[in-house]
Amino acid sequence: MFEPLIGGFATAFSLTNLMAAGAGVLLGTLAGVLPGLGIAGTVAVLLPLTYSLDPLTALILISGVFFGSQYGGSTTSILVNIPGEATSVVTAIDGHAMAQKGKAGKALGIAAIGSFVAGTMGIVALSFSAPTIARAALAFGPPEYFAVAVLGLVILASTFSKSPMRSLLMIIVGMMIGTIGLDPVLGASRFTMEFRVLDKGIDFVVMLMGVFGLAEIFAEIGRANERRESSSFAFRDLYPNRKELAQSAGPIVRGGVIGFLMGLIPGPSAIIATFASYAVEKRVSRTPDEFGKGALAGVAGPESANNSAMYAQMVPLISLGIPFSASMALLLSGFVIHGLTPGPLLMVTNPDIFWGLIASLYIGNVMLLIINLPLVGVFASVLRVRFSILLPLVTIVMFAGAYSINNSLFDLAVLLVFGIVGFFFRQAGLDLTALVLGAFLGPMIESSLTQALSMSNGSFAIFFTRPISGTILLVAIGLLVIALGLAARRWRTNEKPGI
Amino acid sequence: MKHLMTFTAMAALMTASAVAQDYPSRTITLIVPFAAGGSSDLIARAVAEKAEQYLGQSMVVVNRPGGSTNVGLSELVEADPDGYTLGTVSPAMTQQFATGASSYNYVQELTAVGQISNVPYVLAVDANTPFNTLDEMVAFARDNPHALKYGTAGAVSATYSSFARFGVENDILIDPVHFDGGARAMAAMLGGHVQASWQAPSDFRANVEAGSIRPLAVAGESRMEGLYADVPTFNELGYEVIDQLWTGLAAPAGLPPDVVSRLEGALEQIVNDPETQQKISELGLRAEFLGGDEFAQKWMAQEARFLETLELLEAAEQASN
Repeated sequence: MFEPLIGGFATAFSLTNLMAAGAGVLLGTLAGVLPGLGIAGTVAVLLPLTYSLDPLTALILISGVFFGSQYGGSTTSILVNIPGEATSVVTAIDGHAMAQKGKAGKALGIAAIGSFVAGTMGIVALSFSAPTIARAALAFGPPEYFAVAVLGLVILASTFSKSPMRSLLMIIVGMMIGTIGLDPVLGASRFTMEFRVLDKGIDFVVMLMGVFGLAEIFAEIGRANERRESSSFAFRDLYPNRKELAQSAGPIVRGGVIGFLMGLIPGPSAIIATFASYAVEKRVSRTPDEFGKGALAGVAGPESANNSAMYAQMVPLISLGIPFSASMALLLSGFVIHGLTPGPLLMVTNPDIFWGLIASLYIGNVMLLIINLPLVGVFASVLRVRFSILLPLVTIVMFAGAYSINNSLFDLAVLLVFGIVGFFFRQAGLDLTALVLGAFLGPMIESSLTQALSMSNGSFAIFFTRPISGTILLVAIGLLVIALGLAARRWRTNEKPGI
Repeated sequence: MKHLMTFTAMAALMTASAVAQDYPSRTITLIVPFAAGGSSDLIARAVAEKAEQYLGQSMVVVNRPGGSTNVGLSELVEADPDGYTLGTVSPAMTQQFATGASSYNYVQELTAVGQISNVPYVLAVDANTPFNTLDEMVAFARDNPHALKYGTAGAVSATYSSFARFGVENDILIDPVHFDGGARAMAAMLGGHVQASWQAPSDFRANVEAGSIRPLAVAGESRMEGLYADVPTFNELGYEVIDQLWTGLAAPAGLPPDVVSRLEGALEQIVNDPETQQKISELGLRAEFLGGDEFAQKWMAQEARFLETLELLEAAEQASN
């Protein structure tokens, strides 16, 4: 079992391939750090340039970008509260709170270490059991996705807000936004008011950038007159100490597992994995009140989850030839333009490519840690740059990034509108996370519901007769009953209900 | 530098008035109505790469994905017919107007430049189903109404309309499950959640090689070469189905005839270039040039066939209610 992997390392350790891995992860880190400049945009630019490269070298370069971006995404989240990558939205909550307390280095350090550990977990799972995992993932059909989405709503809705009613309101608004555009299944135009530009719907990532990124810039402008403490810190404070590392072990491992499992679900599931990891950490924590005020676990968990989710997304691609996300579709074309077909036979027909690529993932992951740990100091010093200079720069990069996703001017309007909406919603104390989750889970619930009902000739029994979806739905219902019970008791004891 | 600036300024002025004589005199934009990385995008890039050599100007690919190709195609319709904005088209263009997904009828509001590639669609089943031939599948469906489900890449797509028509014409009751894209439909078939699917041979390739998907028939005039050589055509089996996935170049309506013929000539050379042929066959597709007139006829034939399909499906639905 190890022999082919060792052979893979031999190939991956050639100078060209090492350089490709280094260049890939460096570019990826950069794409991650810069808000809006996402993986898809970077890879799309890079792809045509790889025609002249050896197939393996090209694939190493491209996959390096994916994993690099997951390391870099946390940086801007932590330092300026603006997510560099959609998968680092949650990191901003506690990461930025830590930065404000002068602990930016610790947050960045734990993000890098968590990414490394969870990344390694992901790669090991990928290299030794990808085909098995892929087959297990196939057991999830439309009814199971429906059940997962419902469970997700139940768990996530109550985590990010103190007030269930406000969360519910935001989830509904989010779901309504998610229905704009051509209905994904039947192609009917909905809520577009005859504006053809709305046909393609509101881009989820652009919306995320507006609500969490641009809104933060508006808020920052509002705070411009407050004196900002210049954060000076000693070098030894830059890195997490032994105690903090020990505290983070649990969140990192849990985040890694959650990320990997959720990464197997089609769509931008890596984003949702970070929300799920945060929710879990908050629940298992002995000090849940610290979340939102700079809890280390709130950084360690989600940053680990997004990394292992990326490796999980590779599983269906390399073992079935099926891309489950936009970024994996790009990696697929990296294979295809070099005459390779990823799929069940790749391991047999092109073992050198398959194992070389796997080995390069291990190498790239180590490289990322080596590159990123020293950079923590450099990045943290960004905080010394005056905000009057930093914010306009970040804004420009964000607009450029939003444009690059679909090459669409309309998306810039979407960014602006959601920036404004996000700003006012936040001022009003409304829960933006619930809004975003609604916009993501709504369409997933809708399409899996209709698909499942098509499968069952219209019978709802399908959700409960299939063991996996039945179990998941029962858990969701159970949780809902408990939550309602708790709410009712609080009501009776006349505690002031949070509305 | 100053030289260059005056030159570009002049070029811009010239193209505003006179078009044809020295066409093309600047970079051509090629709109791809799909995201980067899909087979349409890769075909477009293979063609664009050769533009410099055969057309004397470079071509820049611009991806305008979304709205099942409507975002990119409506932009193409609205562009100036000066030969500097072109786009790639596929059979979906013949369905948008009829289904109300677009207010433009692309078949009439675009100029056909030429076809680049063409492959037949394939009907395949999950290898865990007991069907070894198309006849076995049809016989089972006839005895077991609504038992068979097929995964589609969405309702506005040949992966749905052609399979549905096949069902109606053969008097079997099989039901679609619409997915967001062909990849998810295939995952659902591999997981046994649906039993069959109608897709391009390139999409099935990896799993046909591995034996996890069984192709039953190809919708071409003759059998395919290579991996699908043993798969009979529908016509051989007596079902009369021709359904192909083609990709070609189009321009806004009203493109001057001499610009069309200049582009058509260059495209023929590009498509017949061995390097382009190789790149397209690596995608699991087949390079096959057709001139503008023939390509336009193909659009109209496809549209007519689709309208007929819609009527058939509607009639069938009414009959069942």
